[in-house]
Amino acid sequence: MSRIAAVVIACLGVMTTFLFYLRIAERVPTASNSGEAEIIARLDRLEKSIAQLAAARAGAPSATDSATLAAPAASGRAELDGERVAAARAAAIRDGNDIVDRALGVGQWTTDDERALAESTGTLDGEAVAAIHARVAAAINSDLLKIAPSALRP
Amino acid sequence: MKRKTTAFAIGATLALGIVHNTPDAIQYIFCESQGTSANCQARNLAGLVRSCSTANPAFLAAIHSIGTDSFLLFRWNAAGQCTSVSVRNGSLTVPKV
Repeated sequence: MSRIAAVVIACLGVMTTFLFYLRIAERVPTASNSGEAEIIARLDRLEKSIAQLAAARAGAPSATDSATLAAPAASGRAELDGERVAAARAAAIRDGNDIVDRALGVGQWTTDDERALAESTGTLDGEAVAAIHARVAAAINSDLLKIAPSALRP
Repeated sequence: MKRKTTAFAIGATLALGIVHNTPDAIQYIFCESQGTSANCQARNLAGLVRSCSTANPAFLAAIHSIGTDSFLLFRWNAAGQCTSVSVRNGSLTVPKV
């Protein structure tokens, strides 16, 4: 009887040990699994960094992080548009001042000058237009520019 | 007799008197608006012309209120900028003929 009990106890002990081992094995990853996951994560991060660097050098957005790089691309377009607008404005101001300079060379402000100035400054803001017209006014006030009678007609 | 707008233009150092009903065709005064900028100009009987330009919103508002019987005054500086624009619409000016 005691022999049977000893065998049963021994069997229970073996089973308990086995079950305990299974539970530990399930909860804790093995050393090899843990290392592999970490390496994969590092490779992912490295790949993203390389893609971002390449995109930044090429000036093109990266497929891996398009949300991050979309904003710089949009601002680049806006910057280009802004440069074009500024260049057009500068050209209009230059043209307007050229008309005034030519009139000053002749000493007379004519209807043609008035019309040409209106055309060249049509896209400009009021401040810029007034600045060019102020040059004409200052020249008139200093008697450097005579107004042709035709220029007085509306 | 040629009718003109009731007007006086007084510069910082010079007065140009231009009234309506003047019989000559020499004197004049006007402001011309481009919407966001404007020019004012006047000539007196001696043929002296004075002019200024502005983009000042307050001056533009005054200029846009000019009528055919307005009293107009503008001043200018050496740079050709308007330093003041004044418009009076009322019955205290020279009576219309």
